Amino acid sequence: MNILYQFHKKRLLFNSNLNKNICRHGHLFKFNLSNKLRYSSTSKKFTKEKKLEAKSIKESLPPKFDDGINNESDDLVLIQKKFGKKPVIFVYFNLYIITFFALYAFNNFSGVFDPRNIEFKVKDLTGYFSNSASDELINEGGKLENKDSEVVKWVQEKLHIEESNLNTLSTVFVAVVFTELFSPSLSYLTMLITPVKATIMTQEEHMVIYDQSQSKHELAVKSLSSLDEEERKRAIRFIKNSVIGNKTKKHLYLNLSITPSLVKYLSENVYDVDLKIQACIIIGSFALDKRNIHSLFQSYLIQPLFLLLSKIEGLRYCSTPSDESIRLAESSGRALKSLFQQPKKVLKLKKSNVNLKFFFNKEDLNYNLKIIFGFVSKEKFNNLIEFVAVNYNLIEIGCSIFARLIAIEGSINGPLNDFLIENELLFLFFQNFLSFLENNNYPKVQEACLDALGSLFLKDRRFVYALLDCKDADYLEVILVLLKHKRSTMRLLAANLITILVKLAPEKFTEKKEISIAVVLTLIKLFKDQNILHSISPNVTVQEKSLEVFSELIIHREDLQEAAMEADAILKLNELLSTSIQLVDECMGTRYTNKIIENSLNAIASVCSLSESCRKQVIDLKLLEKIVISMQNPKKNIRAASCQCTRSLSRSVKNLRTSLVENDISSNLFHLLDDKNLKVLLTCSATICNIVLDFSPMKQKFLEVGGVKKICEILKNEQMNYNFNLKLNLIWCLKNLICHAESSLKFKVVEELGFRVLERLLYDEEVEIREQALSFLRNLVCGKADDIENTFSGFGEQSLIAAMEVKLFETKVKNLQQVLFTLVNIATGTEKHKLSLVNSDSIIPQSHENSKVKLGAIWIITNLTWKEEDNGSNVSSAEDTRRLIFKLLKQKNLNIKEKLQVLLNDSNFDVRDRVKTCLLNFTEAEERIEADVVMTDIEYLNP
Amino acid sequence: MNYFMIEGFKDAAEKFSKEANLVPSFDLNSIKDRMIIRNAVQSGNIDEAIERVNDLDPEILDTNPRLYFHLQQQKLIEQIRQGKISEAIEFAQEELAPRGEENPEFLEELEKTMALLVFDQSLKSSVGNLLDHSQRQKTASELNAAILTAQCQEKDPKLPSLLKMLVWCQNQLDEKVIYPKITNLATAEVTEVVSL
Repeated sequence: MNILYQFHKKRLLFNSNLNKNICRHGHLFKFNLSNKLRYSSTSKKFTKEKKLEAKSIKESLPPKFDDGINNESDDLVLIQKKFGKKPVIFVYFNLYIITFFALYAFNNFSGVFDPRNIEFKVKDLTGYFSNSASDELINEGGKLENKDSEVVKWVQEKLHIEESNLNTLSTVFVAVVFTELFSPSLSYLTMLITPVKATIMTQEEHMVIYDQSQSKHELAVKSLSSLDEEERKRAIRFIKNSVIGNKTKKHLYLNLSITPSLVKYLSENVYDVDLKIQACIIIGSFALDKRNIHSLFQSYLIQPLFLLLSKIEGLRYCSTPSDESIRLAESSGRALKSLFQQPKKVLKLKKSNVNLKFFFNKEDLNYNLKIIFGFVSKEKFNNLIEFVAVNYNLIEIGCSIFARLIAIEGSINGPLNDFLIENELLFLFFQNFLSFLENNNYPKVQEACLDALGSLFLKDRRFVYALLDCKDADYLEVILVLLKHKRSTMRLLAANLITILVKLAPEKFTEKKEISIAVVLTLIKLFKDQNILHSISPNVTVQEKSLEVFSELIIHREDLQEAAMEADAILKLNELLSTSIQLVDECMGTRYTNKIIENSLNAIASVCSLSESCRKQVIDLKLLEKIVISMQNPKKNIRAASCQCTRSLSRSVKNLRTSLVENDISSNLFHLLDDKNLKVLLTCSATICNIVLDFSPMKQKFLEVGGVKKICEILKNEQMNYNFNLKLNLIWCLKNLICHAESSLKFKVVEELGFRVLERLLYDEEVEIREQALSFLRNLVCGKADDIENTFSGFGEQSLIAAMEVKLFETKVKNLQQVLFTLVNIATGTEKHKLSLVNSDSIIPQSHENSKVKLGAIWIITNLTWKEEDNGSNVSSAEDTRRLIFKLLKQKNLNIKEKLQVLLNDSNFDVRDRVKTCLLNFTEAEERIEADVVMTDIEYLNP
Repeated sequence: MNYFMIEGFKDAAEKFSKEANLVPSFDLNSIKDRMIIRNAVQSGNIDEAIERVNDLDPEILDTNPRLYFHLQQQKLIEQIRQGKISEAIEFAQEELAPRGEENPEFLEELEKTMALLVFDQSLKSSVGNLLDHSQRQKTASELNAAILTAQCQEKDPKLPSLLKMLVWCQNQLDEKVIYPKITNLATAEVTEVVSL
C-alpha cells in the first residue's frame, strides 16, 4: 500500500507538471473530430513507411504481451477487417507508448525494478515499432533523468505525439502500472484501451461503435410518433432528461430531426398537455445552445408557442386554473424566452435569410405583442395581470420576452414602437413596471423589468423622456433604490439602466451628478463578481457586463473618470488584466478569460480617454507593457481594445514624448495596419493620427518603417475604401503627418498618395472626408512658397483653382473654413500664386455669418495686399505685382474697402482686430495706385 | 425559520411558524420538492434527482454546467460503487467525456473519478474519498443551493453566519473589554460581569 501511495503521489506530481502545459488541451476520452484529424495527420508520418510492416508487426507480437491482451487482439482483428490496417498500427502504437510510460514509471521506483529489466522490456517491444526512432528510444531510454517534463518532451519529439494525446496516455498508463503491479491479468488495461481505440475512429466509425447508445435515442425519436400515449410520454421524458444540460445530445436529437414531431405536439390539440409541456421544455433547452438557434428557426415553432402562451387568457375565466395549464404557459414562455435569448443572433438571421419561417407579419406581431402585453400591463387587457400575479414566474418570463422582442423588432417608427405609442400603452407600462420594481418579494421580476426597460429605451429616445418627464411618480428614485440591492445582478442591471438613461438624456442629469458617480462606484465594486446574469443570458456574468457598462458610462466624462480613479478603478482593472493574462499564459484561459481581457482593456481605454491624471496612473502602473503585448493577441477584439488604450494614452503630449516611445508603440501599430480586421484597423489608424503629430518623436520612427506607404496603399485600395470611418482616419493621419512638416516630407507623402487620389478625395461624397482632404491640402500649401509651387505643379494650376472655386460652395462651415485657409496659405506664396487667385473669377468667397469664415476672407485680402518688407533685388517686381493685384481686385468691383469698414463694428473681437490691419494695408495700397482705380459696386463680403 | 426553510426542515418550519405565529415568507411546499431531490441524491439515486429537478425548473441544469457535471460524476461514482464497471465506462464515454471537452476545468475531477476504476479496494485508495458519503452530501448541497438560487432565495441560512459573527465579535471584545459574554451558545448563558 505504501508503494501505491507513493506512486499516486508521483502521479499527481507528474500530472501537475503536465497540467501546466498539457492537461488543459486534452483529456481522457477525446472523440471530437478535430482530434481525430490530428491523429490522422500524425498517422501520415508513420503509416507511409509502415503500412507494409503492419502485418509483420501483428505476427511478431511477443508471446507474453499477446497473452495479456488476448481479448483486445480479437477486437483489433475485427477493426482491422473493418477499417484496414491503419488503426491497428495505432492501437499498437498507443500501447507501445503506454508501456513506455509504464516502464518509465517503474524506473522511478528504485528498488522495485531493476533498470536493466526495463531496457530488456523496451527491446522486447521494438517489434511494435521498428525504425530509427525506436532505436533511439532504446539508447536514450536508459539515460532518462528524473525529470517529467523532459521525458515528455523527449517522447514527443521522437514519436511526434501531439500534446493532447499525451494526456490521454498519461492517465491510461497509471492503469497499466497498477495492473502490472497488482493484478496478473490485463483486464483493466483492456477496458481502458477502449478509449484509445475510440480516438482513432473517424466520425462514421465512431457512430458504428456507438451504434447501441445511438439507437437508444433513435428509438426514442421514433416512439414520439407512436400511437400509444404512454410510450410517447416515456419517450419524450427520456429525451428531455437526455438533452437538458447536454450539448452533444441536443445536437444529436436535432440531427435526428426531432423538431417536426415537437411542432406537431405543440400545434395539434389531440396531444396531451403534459406532452406539450415536455415539448416546450425540450425546445427551450435546444435554444440555450446558440448554435442550434438557426436550425430551430427554420421550423414553424414560434407561432405555436405564442398560441400556447395565449391560452393563459382563457384560464382567467376558470375559477381554479389547473396546475398543468399554468405550467404549460410557463414552459411555452420559457421556450420563447430562450429562443430570443440572443437578440443579436436572431437579428443577424433575420437579415441573412428570408426563408426563416418565424418572422412575424404585422398581424402576427400585433397578436403576439398583445399576449406579451397581457403579462405586463393592467386594464387594457382585462386585468390579465392580476390573474398572472399568482405566478410571478409568468411575469418574469413576460418581461424577458418583451425585452427581447423590443431588441429584435423595435425601431423608431417601426410597428412595435408605434403600437406602444398609438395604443397609449406606455404609461400603463410604466405604472406596471413601477409596481413590479417596488415589489421586493420577487427579485427576478424586478431584474427582468430593469432589463426590459433598458431595451425599450435603447430603441427609442421618446420613451426615455416619457419616463423621466412623468409627473406621477419618481421612477428614478425607485431605480436608485435597486442600485443598493443585496443581489449583485440587481445592482448591475439598475446601474445599466441608469447608464442608458444618462447616455440618452444627459441634460436631465446635469444637475444630478451624484447619481452618475453612485453608478460608477457601484460598477467598480462589481468588477470581480462572478455571478451569472440569468435574466440576460446564462452565459453572461456580472463581471464582464459591469466592465462594459462602466466603459460606456465614463468614456466621454472626465469628471466620472476621475471619480473612478479615486475609487481605485484603475488598480482593480490592472489586477484583473494581470490575472487574466497570466491565466492565458499558463494555458488555463478560456473564452471567458479572453472576454475579460478585452473588456478590461476597453475599460482602461475609457477611463483615460480624457483625464490626464488617469493616464498618469495607467502609465505608473506599467499597464502599457500589458497593452503592448495584447496588441499581438490572436483575438481580434483584444487587439482592437489594446489599440483603443494606446489611442486614449496618445491624447496626452507627455505620453507621446515618453512612455509610448519607450514601449515602441509605433512599430506595433504599424504592424497592425496589416490586420485583416476592420475594427482593429479603425482603432489602430485612429491612434496613428495622434502619434504622427509634429511634437511626437514616434513620427520619425513611423516614417522609417514605411508607414506612409502603407497608409496610402490602403487608401488607394478600393476594396478597403468601402469603410467610411477607415478612410476618414487614414486621411486624417496623413493630414496630421504633414502638419508643420518639412517640404521634403510633404512632397514625399503627396507623391505616395498621388494628386489624383487627393482630387478624388476632395470630391468624395462624404462631407467629413472632404473636410479632411481639404485640411490635408491646407497643410500641404502651408509654409514656404516651394510647398505651394509643388502643389501647383503637381495638382495642376488650373485644376487646383477650379477645385477651389467649386469647394467655395461647400455648405458645411468647417469645410468652408478649410477652403478659405487653403486660399490664405496660397495667398502667402509668390506673385504667381497670388495672381492665379486674383485671376480666378469667383475665388473670393460669398458673404457668410460665421466669424471664422470672415476671418479667413480678411486674411486672404491681407495676404494678397501684403507689402513686402524685404529690400531684396526683386522688390520692384513684387511691388509691380502688388499694384497689378490691387488693380485687378478693384476691377472686379468687389467693394472691398466698404465691406471691410463695416466689419470694423463686427461683434467678434478677432474680426475687428484683424480687419484693422487689413484696412491699413488696403488703404495704403489704394493711396499709391489711386490713379488706376475704377469704382463699381458688386455685392461680396457682406458682414 | 430562515434556517429551517433553507436547510429544508419542512415539518420543523411548519411547527415553528405555527407556534411563533409567523406567516412563512414563501411557499412551504417548495421545501418538499427540494427535500425529495436532496434525499434522492443522498441515497445515490441520481437519475431520479435529475428527473425531478428538470420537472421543477428545466433551466437549473441547463444553465449550470458545473452542477450538471457533478451530478453525472456522482452517477458514475454510484455505478462504480455498485461494481458496474463496464456500464460505468460506457457512461463515462458517452456522457462525461463530452462535458470535459466542453469545459476543460472539469478534466482533473474526471480523471480522479476515473482513477477509482483502477483500484481494487477503491475505498482505501487515495481517491476513495469520492466514494464516501460526504461526496453525496456535497453534490446534494450544491444542487440544493442551485435550486434555491433559481427560486431567488438565499443559498446559505443566516443563522450560522450570525453565530460566526457573534463568536468573532466576542473574540475581538475579549482582547479589549470585560462584558457579559455568552459562554454557551445553545442556552445563551451569559457570564456575569464582575463590577470593579
